[in-house]
Amino acid sequence: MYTFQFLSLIRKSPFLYLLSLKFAFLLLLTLFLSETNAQNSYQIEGHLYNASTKAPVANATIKTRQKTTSSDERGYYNLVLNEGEHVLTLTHIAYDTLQISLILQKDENKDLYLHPKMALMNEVVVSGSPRKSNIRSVSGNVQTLTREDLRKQPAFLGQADPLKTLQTLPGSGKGGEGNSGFYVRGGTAGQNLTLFNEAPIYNPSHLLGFFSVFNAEAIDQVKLYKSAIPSEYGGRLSSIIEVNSSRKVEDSLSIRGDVSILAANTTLALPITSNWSLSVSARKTFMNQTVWPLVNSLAGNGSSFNDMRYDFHDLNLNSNARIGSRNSLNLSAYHGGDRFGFGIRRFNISNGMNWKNSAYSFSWKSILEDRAVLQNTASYSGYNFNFGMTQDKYDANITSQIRDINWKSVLALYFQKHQLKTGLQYTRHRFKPNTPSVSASDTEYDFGLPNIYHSDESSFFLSDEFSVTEKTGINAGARFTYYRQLGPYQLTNEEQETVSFGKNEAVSAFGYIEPSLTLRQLLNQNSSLKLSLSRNIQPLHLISVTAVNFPADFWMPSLRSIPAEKGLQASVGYFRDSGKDNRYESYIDLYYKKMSGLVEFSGGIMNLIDNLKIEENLLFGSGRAYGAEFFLKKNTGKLTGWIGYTLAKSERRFEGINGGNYFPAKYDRTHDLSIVSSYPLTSRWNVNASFTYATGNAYTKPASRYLIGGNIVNEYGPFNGNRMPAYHRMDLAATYKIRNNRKFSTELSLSVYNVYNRQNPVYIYFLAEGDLEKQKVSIRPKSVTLLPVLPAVNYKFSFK
Amino acid sequence: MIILRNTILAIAFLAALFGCKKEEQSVYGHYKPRFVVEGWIEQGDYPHVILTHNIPFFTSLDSAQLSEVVIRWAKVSVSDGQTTEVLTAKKDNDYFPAYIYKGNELRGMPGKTYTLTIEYAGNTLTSTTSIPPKVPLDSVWFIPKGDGLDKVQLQLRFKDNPSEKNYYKIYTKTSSNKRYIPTLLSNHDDKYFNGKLLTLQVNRGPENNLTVENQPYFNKGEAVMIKFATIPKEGFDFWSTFQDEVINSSNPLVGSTGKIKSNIQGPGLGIWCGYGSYILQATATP
Repeated sequence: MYTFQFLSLIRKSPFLYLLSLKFAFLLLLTLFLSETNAQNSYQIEGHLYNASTKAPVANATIKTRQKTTSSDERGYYNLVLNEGEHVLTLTHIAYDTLQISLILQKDENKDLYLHPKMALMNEVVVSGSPRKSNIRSVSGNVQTLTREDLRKQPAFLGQADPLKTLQTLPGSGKGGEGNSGFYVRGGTAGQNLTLFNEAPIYNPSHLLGFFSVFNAEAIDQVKLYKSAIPSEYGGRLSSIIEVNSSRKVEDSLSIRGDVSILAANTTLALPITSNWSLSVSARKTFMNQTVWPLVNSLAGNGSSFNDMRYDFHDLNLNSNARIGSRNSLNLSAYHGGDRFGFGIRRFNISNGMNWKNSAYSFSWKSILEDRAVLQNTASYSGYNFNFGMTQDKYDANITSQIRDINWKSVLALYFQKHQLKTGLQYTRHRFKPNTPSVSASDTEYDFGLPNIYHSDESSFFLSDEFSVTEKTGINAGARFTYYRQLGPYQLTNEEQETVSFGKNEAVSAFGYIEPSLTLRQLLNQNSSLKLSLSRNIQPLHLISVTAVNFPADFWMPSLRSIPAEKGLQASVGYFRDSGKDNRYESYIDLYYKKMSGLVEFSGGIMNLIDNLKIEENLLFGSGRAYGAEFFLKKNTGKLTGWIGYTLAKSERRFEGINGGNYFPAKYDRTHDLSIVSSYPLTSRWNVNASFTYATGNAYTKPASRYLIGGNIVNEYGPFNGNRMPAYHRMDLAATYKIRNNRKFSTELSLSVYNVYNRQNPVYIYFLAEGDLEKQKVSIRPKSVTLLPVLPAVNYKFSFK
Repeated sequence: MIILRNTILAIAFLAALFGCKKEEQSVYGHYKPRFVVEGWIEQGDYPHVILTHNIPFFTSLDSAQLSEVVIRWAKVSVSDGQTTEVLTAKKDNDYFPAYIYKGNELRGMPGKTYTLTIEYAGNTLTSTTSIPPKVPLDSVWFIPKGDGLDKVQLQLRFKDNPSEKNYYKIYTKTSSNKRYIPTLLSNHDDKYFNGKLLTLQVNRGPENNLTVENQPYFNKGEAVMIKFATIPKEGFDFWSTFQDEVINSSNPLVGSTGKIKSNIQGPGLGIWCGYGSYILQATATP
C-alpha cells in the first residue's frame, strides 16, 4: 500500500521521482550494508527450455538439498543458495530428469535444456551450458556473444564492445582503422540491420568505429545472423545484428562502472517493486582533455592535420516489469552523440562532424498458453548528422536526418516437432538525406527546398523450424513486404512535365518475398552439416560519399528511379563440437553471394554542398562475393578464446567504371584473421590478448600526372586497382581483482591498444612537394593514420 | 640513367600517340598518354595556350622530365567565327613550363565564341568557349587578421545580375607572384545568390599544390591586384572539379573523385576558357 501511494505520488512530479530514486537508493544501501555480515550466499537463476523446440518450460521443479523452487511461465527460475557445492535436480512430468552439479562461488546465470520424454534426441546428454549449440540449431550461421565473450577480448581503452568483438568472428570484416563499417561476407556497410531492442540504429558507431554505440554494461546478448536471415527480420542483404538489453527484472540494487583517463561509464540497476526494475547506463569520454592534446602536440607542425578533437556520450535506460506470471514489459531508451573535428593546416580549413542516434522501444511479451508466446513491440529510431566545413567566414554545412516509426508483432508457437513464428511488421521512414547550408560572410546561400523522402514497409512473415527425422531439421520461412515511396514528392516524367504527389500518396510501390531455407543434418552427436539458401531484398541504400566509411555516408530509400538492392546467398557449413563438455566449438562455412542494385554516388561529399537531387546522381551496379570461414573456439579450461579466419573475395561491377568489368570491392579482404584469448594467471590476475590481420583496402592509385596552372594533377589508374598495406594490430590487457566479494568488487585493468605501434593507414593520398621553378618535384604517398600505441588504465567497480 | 629513362619516355609517348598503346601499357602500367591544354582568352586580351603532355607516375620529377613535357611544335589556332589566328610559340618565364602559344591579333570580346584548334603529329584537339560579360566589383576593403593583427584579409562585394546566369572566378596577385593566383575557394555559382548583393571574405590561395604552407592573408600596405572574372559554364565545371581534386583529395572526408571535367575534344584534357575579367588594384590597408 505504501509503495503504491509512493509510486502514484512520484508519477506526478519528475523532481519527486528523482528524489525517490535517491531515497530508494539510500534505503537499499542501508539494507545491504546491514546484511554484509551474513553468511555468503549466491543466487543462481536462468531459464529452462525444451531442448528440441527451445520453448520455455514452465512448472518444472528445481530441487537442492537446501531448497526447492519451480520455474515460472517463462521458464524462469531462481534460487539463493549458500556458497559451495550443490546438486540441482530438475524434474517435470513431460521431461527427462536432469541433474547437474555445480560449485557456487558467485552469482550464476544458467539456462538449462530439458529433453522431452520419448524425445527424438534422447540420447543426447544435456549439459548446463548456457550457450545454444550451433550444431543443433536449425538456423543458418548465427553467432551469439554473451557478456562473458566480450570479456575475453582486450577492451579498447578498457571499454568492452559488442560490435568490435563481433568483428573478430569470421566473415564479419572490419573496414580498417577509423572505419565504422561492418562488412559481412563481402557485403557493404549498409547491408546490415543493427537492432537495439528491435529499434534500428542507423549509424551504430562512436569514434570512427573505435567504439560501437552499444555500451557493454547495458546489453545482455548480441547475435549476428549472416546467412539465411530469419524471416522475422528482413530488408538487408548481408546480416542482422540483434542487440538486446537484459529482460530480467532486477531484484537487487547494484551499481557498477569504470573510469579511466579517457572515459567513465556507470550502470545503476534499481528494483522499484518486486516486479519492476530500472537500469540506467551512462558513458562519456573526455578525450578532448586527455588524448587529443597529446596526439596534436606529437603530430606537430609537420602534419597536414591539426586540432583533432573528438568526444562522445551515451545513455541507456532499460526497464523491465512482470505483470502476473504471463506478461512482461520492457521499455528501452538509447541516446548517444558524437562530436568530431579536425583542421587541415594547409588550407586553414576546419572540419567538424557530429551525429546523434536515438532509439526507443516498448515491448510487451505475453504467454498466451504454454505453447504460444506473443510479443508486440513499438519502436522509434532517430538519426541526425551534421558535417561542417569552415574557412574563416565561409561556412558550409550538410545535415542528414532519419526518423523511423516501427511496429512489430510476433507470435511464436511451440509444438513437439514444429516451432512456428509468424507476425506482422510496419515501418514508416522519413529521410532527409542532405540539406546543405552555406554562408559566406553575411550572405546565406539559397538552396531551395530540402530533399525529403517518405516511405513505408508493411510485412508479413512466417517460418517453421521442424524435425523431419531424428537427424534432419529444416527451417523454412518467407517474408512478404509491400514497400511504398510516399509523397509529398515531385518528379519529372518522360514528357518533361513536373508531376506532384500529395502527402501519403504512393509515388511508387512494389511487393517482394524474401524466402530463406536452412537444412541441418546431424552427422553424429558432435557434428552437423548445414545448407542455407536465402534471397533478400533491401529497399534502403547507404550511399557512401567519403573516402573512408565516415558517418557522412547517408541513407536513401528506394524511389521510383532507385530500385531495391537484391541478394542471393547460398552457404554450406560443417559444424563440430569436441572435447569434454564440448570444450571446443568449430565450423567451416563456405558461401557464395550475388548482389544487384548496388548504389554509388557519382560525386563526393563536396557535391552535396549543392542541393542536387541525389536520385539523379547515382550509379547502379552489381556484385559477387564468395569465401570460406574457419572458426575454432575453446570454451572451457584455463585458456579460452577463439580463432577466426576468412579467405574471401568480393567484387563489384558498375557501368562506366573499369570498362564495365569486375573490380575488387573497396573492403575486399583476401585474408582476415582474428585471435582472441584469455588466461587466468592466478585467482586475481587475468590476461587477455588479441591479434588481427586483414588484407589492405583496395584503392585507386594515380597512374600518371600532368601540369595545370603550376599544379601537379593526378590521373588515376584502374579503379580499386591497388592495395593499402595490410592491417594488423595486437592488443593486450591485464586485469587485477583488487577486491572480490558478494557485495563489492573492484578491479584494475591495464590495456594496451596497438601494442607494437603499427601505423595502419586510414587513407592514402599523394602529396606533391617541391618547386617547379627549381625543377625539382617529388610526389610521395602520404598515409593518414589515427591511433598509435595507446595504453589505458581502467578502474572497475561493482557494488550490490 | 636519367637521360636513358627520358629517352625511353619520349619515344614511348610518341609511339603511343601513333597508336601502339598495347606495348606502351606493358612498359608504363596504366599510363595513357594525353595532351594537356591550358588555354584562356580574356576580355580585351589575346589568346594564350600552354600545351604539354601527361607523364607516367614516377615519385620524383627532375628538370629533364619537366622540360620534356612541353609540346613545342604544334599548330595552335583560335577562331572567333570570322577571323582565325595561328598563335605563335614563345618562351615566357612567367609561366611554367616557360613556353606559351600567344596571339597578337584577335582580342577577346564579351559575348563572342572562340574555337581553339590544336594540330600536332596527326592529332587534332578542339574546344570552344565564350567570354561572358564582366561584372564590376561594388567595393573592396581589408580587415585586420592574423595573431597580432599584423595581416589583412581581403573582402569584396558585388551585385549579381538577376537576369543572367553567372559563374565567377576570383584571383589575386601581389609583387611576389608572377601570375594571378586563384583564391582559396575561387569558384562561385550564382544559383545560390542570384540577384543578391554578395560579400565574400577572400583568402589567398596557395601558388600551387606543391607547397604545404599557405598564407591566407596579405601583408599590410602590400599592393594587391584583384581579378574578378566571369566564366562560362564549362570553365566553372572544370575549375570546380579541379579544385576538388587539387585541394580536397588530401582530405579523407572528401577523397579524390578523380573526375575533372575537361572541355577539350580529341586525345587530350584540360581547359579552354574565356574570362570576362574585371581588374582592380588596391592597397592592403584596413
